[in-house]
Amino acid sequence: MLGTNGIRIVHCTRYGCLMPALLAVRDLVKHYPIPGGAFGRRAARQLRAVDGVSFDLQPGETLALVGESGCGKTTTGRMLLRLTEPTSGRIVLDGEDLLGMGRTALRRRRRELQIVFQDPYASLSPRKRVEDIIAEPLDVFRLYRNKNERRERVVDLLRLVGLNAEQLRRYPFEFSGGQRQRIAIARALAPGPRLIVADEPVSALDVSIQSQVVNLMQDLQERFGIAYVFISHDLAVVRHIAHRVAVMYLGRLVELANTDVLFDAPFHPYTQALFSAAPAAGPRPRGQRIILRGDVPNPARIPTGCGFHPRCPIAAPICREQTPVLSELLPGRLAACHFARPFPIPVAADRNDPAHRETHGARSV
Amino acid sequence: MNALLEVDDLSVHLFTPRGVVRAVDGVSFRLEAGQSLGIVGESGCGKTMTALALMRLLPSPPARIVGGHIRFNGEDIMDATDARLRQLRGSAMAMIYQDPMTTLNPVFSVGEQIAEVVRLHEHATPQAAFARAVEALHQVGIPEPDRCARAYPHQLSGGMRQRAVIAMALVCRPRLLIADEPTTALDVTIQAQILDLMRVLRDETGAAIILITHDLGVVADLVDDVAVMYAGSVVECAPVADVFAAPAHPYTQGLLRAMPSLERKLHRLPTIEGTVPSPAAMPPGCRFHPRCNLARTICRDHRPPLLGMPEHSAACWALTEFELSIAHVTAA
Repeated sequence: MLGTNGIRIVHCTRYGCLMPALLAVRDLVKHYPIPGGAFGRRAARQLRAVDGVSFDLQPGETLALVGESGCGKTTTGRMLLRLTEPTSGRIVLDGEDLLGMGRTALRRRRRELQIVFQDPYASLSPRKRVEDIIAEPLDVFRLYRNKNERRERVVDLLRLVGLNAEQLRRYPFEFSGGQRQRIAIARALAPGPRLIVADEPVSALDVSIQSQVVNLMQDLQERFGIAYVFISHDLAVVRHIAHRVAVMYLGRLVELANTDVLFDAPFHPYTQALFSAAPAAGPRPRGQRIILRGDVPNPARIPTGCGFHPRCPIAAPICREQTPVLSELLPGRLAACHFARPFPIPVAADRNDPAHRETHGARSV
Repeated sequence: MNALLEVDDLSVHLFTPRGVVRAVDGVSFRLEAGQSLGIVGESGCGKTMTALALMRLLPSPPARIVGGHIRFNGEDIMDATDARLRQLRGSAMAMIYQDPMTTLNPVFSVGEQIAEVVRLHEHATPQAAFARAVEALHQVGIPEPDRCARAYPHQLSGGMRQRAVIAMALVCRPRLLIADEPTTALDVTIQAQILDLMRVLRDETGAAIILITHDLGVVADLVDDVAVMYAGSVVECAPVADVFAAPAHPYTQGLLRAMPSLERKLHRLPTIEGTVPSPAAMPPGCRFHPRCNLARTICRDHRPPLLGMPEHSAACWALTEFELSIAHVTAA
């Protein structure tokens, strides 16, 4: 099938797509040169922030990108809107490749792509009134005929996100963190987007406020059929809001699956460790946690072969040499691991193993 | 039995140009040697102010302890001289902060900074102190502790820096370790490492721990008892298993329900309506009553004290002692 501008769109189950996708991302790459040489002119090495990410997104679907800091999830999210320019790859929105577009065409399409940032204290201009903050996308895309209509749209949006109309002449500092995030969401909704990239939208909020914002995002999705790319390190929130989850490690997807099956039985050893490390809402018996050795590696120095092998409890010689590809192990379930099988090797969490303790734990003095 | 730490009716006020803010309002708890206590609450609930007050490290002005007693090892901390406090801090009681990058001095190597603590408290020679620093880094599970001791903070990863900070806090074998959000700035897999380390060190050194956090999940892993704070005061105090199995205060219940779980998926997350009250405009009576669906007239007019058993108490008028004891039995 050919898209409107001749880009071929691959329809397959490989990225979990059965219907025509709203968004198709293929081999998305972002490399940053690391200055080297005498005057820092020569790019000695590359920092591979995002290294070949592919996925599809259906209309009205929530795909979560999860991973630890430096795994490339935020860079991926920003590239979807071309806020960060990709090094290579394709981002096909409704059959049209965003990467080939000129500025004017891109601006037109950005009406359909909006973003909500993590820190509502930094993402709202302190010098603008709420009305003008929310109306900014309306101004940019000229979505009203007169001032009254602009005001009406803003009032509608405020109500949609659970704020009241009297608050529209106020400044951001007069609102709490949760209310500010509602304002940021109202601004993202203003031009009627089909996709919102939400980059850690509830991470800066307290638990009791967090659940209010999560519910709001779900309500808006049900009502308007908006698709979300939900970037988060909080697995419990992801489990709640996402339809599918993509786990990233060092710029690559290591696992992609439906939320429920993924949380029930993760295939990739990294996913297993990540899930078991997440703080649970209650005491859990000791010895149930997989504790990974070592640190998250620096993306400027990605290990050879599988990027996870130095920390992987089940690594074998092949893992040092060959990079595993993301492949479909069961319909709609993808993982990038030489040893991931439909019945994967469960990673042991035996805390009494002396060799295990020696490497990560403390020793008595 | 004499407790290691006794806090009795502690109140901290902030004297700001816009008025007096009652940041901590009558907080009491006690901690035995080798025990661990989690203080849990949302931002602005006064948990960090409580911790700083214990070390007498409150930023003053604007903060001042306006009432209460703090007894550490039988000694009154409120009356201690500055010289005595300097002796205690770092040797008998130590603190770990949230952000290891701002805790460490960027222009000294990690080893020098840890050695400084030893030199100040134990009059060791510089060489002996540095050797102790290397040993402490080894104890917190840092590979190649010699090399790490000569490294500067920016050369270490976040997890390694937090290990170094823990090494610095523990190098003089304190009897009380106060950890203020020690893993909040870290990734999940690194957080698991640090919590595991703190557990091992607690068992090895016998230090009492106060863990301050907003994350109930972190508390579940490390402490014996939990004190839940809301708007400047403790609303519930119980053994950690009871807090999760049978929370008594409506705020604790709401907080636990609002936490999304890894195991089950609900259609909608239960929420606590409204927002945390601003410290400058606290509601009268029970401070939770505007957000509480059990609120009655008495809640608007009178503040509830901690009710119930010594081992499981909650500040709520809706609870009779009978209900609390039932909750306790169910939890056990």
